[in-house]
Amino acid sequence: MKDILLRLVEKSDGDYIELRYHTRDQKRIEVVKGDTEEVHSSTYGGVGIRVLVDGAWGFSSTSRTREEDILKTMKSAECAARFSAKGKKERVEGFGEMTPVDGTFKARVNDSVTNHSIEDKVNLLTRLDKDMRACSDINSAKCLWNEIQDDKLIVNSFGTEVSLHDEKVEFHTIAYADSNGEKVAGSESRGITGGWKDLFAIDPAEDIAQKAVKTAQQLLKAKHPKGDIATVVLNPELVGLISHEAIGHTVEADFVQSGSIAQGKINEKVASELVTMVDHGTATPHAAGWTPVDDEGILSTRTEIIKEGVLNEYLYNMEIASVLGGKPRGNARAYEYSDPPIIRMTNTFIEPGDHGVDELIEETKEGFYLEGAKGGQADANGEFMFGVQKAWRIKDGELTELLRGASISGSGFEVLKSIDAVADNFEFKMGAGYCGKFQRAKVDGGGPNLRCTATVGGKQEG
Amino acid sequence: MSRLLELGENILRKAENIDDLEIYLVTDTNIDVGIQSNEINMSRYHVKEQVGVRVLHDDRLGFSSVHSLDERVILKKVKEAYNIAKNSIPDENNLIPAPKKVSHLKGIYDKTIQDFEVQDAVRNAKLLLETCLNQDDRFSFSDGFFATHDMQRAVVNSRGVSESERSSVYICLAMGMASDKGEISNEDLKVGGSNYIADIDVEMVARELVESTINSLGAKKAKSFEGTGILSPQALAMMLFMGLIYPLKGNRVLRGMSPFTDKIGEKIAASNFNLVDHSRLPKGLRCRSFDREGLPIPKLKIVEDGVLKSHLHNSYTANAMDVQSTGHASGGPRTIPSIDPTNLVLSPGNRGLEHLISEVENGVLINRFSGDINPVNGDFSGVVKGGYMIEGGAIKHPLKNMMVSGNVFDSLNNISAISSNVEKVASLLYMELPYLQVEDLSFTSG
Repeated sequence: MKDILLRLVEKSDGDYIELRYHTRDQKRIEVVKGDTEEVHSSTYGGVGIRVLVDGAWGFSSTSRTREEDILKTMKSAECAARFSAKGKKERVEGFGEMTPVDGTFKARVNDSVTNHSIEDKVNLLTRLDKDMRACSDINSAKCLWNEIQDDKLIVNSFGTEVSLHDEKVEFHTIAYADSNGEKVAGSESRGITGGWKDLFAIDPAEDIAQKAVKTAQQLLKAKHPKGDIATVVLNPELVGLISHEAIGHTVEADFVQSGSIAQGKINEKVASELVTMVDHGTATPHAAGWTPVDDEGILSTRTEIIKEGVLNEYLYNMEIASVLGGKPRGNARAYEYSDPPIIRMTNTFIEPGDHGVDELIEETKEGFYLEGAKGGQADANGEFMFGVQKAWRIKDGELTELLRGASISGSGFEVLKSIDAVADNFEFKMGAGYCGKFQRAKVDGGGPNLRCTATVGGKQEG
Repeated sequence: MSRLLELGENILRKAENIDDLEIYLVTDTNIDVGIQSNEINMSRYHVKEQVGVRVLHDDRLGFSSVHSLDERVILKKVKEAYNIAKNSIPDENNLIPAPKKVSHLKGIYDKTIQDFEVQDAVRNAKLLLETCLNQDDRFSFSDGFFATHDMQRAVVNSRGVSESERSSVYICLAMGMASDKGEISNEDLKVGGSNYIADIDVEMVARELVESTINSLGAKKAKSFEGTGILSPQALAMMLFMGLIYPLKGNRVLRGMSPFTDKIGEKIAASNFNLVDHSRLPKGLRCRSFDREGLPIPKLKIVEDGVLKSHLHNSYTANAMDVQSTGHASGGPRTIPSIDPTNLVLSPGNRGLEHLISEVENGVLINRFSGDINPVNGDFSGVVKGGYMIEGGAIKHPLKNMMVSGNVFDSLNNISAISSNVEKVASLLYMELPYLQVEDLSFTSG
């Protein structure tokens, strides 16, 4: 296949071309209340071709892998680019000479999940589902397994020849509790790059499932908080989510060009000096957003988005880096062969500080300790919102009652400015989910515990 | 016989040793012109060919899918699905359905799509972008596209189902925001879609988006309170309907994850709440003659006068609950059939939106909702987007930093009025919805 792709680079009429052969094997199992709702294996792959002609982009893809089919697809991409050019006001001028990358990249995998049969996985999920439902107040349960094996070949006009093998796996457990007409769910998930032993390196599967059970049981007795502006202590999962949703998206250079809140703010103070926020595709080998090289063939390097409170750098692809004078650091990503690369985060996190984890709560007179992220969104103006699984009320430095149904909201940079303490722990904790921006991306996020001020959504009286 | 149907039938013949087999085949010729940062960004052209294979063996389920219409490749996937089935847990409710008479819809395929080229899509994308930018200097177009899909799908199974259909979709999406003197408005989005090119009005989508973002400039904070919310069709779709649809699905009901488990025939909403699923709704974007399993989709009363009339079923959940499938098997070739509505229609009331607003003493007009809905108990909490404060029966000012919380099921019973104005909402689902006035919502100011 590589020879075919290289021949087509030579044949292209484009000013720039990249061809990506991407195959994906996916296995997905879902067991719900004793029944196997889904056991499936899918294979999808093909070639995605992006080409720059007359200063405009064209993209086309095919699942057929004969050379004549790929050539035809390349011609479609070139044709699409020419038509795009007729609709554009300003042409893409190119992006200078990029250093070609020639290499093979492989995810670090300890006991590949492919070593374990589908039967083993079905049995594991079935056993956990049964164990969860045997616990008090738990009337239903769900366990989900999703594994992805990716193989890519990326070649481009700069002479890049990259071969990549990636393995990512997700494991979700949800316990549904029901008592006196009250229904709640508790969930616990893991998502990593790596194998079976990496996935269960910290907590065995049984412990993960029992954490979901405990959360559901606790939430059953919880009340709703009263909504207000409050001091909140966030756990690493929520710190990851805030970094991703509230800040990360606003510094994606395509959103910056569209007028996001981060536009024109480089070198401005946007956060407390305690905050250094980073995006890095190879921050650790097992974070779910592990991306050693992106789909433009750019090696991952560390982006210090915020350095000690000052906005330092956006996240780029080659094109916008050239326009805005930045450096692409491996953030142009495509989810499947039929998706073009666009600017995405990888692993986004806040660096740990030197505060003790327990002190964050002990020093807080009144507020909330928030754990566990649910759905979240943010606007280009930096306003974010996401749901929180557990909200513990802090009273005089101690955790008191547990509350449910809370969400937090605020303006990203304002919330970062309000941070008055950053703890010395650190964890990646967002790997079980996906980021959506016209196409999916596997990302991770995390950080230490930290304390800030945000709006906690809840009930109002009368 | 369509090419897909022929291929499906061939596979069935060659895999006749497998008793229960279903093949779902889809091709999609897609043109997509992206718009980003006030500029045409990229044109795309794809032909996708996908097949999903479902096998039952001794009540055990196996599923496999592939991006290929190569017969040998698909036969390999049949074997793989069979091997998976052999290792699954038996479940007597697994079922490949017998055929039922399908009446084929007309009016969902615009033949001109076969001549629609990338340059035509570029022209439409440019019209969308320029209409936005020419309307007001303060508007900035962040993301969007104009796209077409020429789709063929076919489903065949070993019990005799053999159906195919072709449909066309033209769709545009525009996202943007307004900025003025350092203030950035809420980002908003509008979607337009139709089966026919003649019915898609990209200029109207553009005008509505610009108007909405410009009007939301000058937003002010308000105090926290408990009171009335008037939900726009878009907010209604995102807040209440997302929370309502999930527990209506047969699989949620079956697994004890729905509050509607034993509620058929019981009151679940205000008595003026009438909800129908209409798979043949004129100009509905999700019209289809048959569902993911090849079964017909009769018009379904879901809620009538506030009383729950039916859940939504595919063959599996219907079999497990000893009822007939409602024909709501959904999803693509990459997953086993799931459950989704087609086009949802909520009956309008008899008073205009202006009248609804005039009766609100203290409340918020919610245009969009960005938040989290707990699918298990219906609790929701999120941010009001493009909202307006209503005081003394009149709109006072655009709102900022306001959160809204409540519960979907309580809110359905707290509907105090439904507007006569109806708007189309095309997002993940297609809906025709009025404005809904809901009492006792919690608004928290940030």
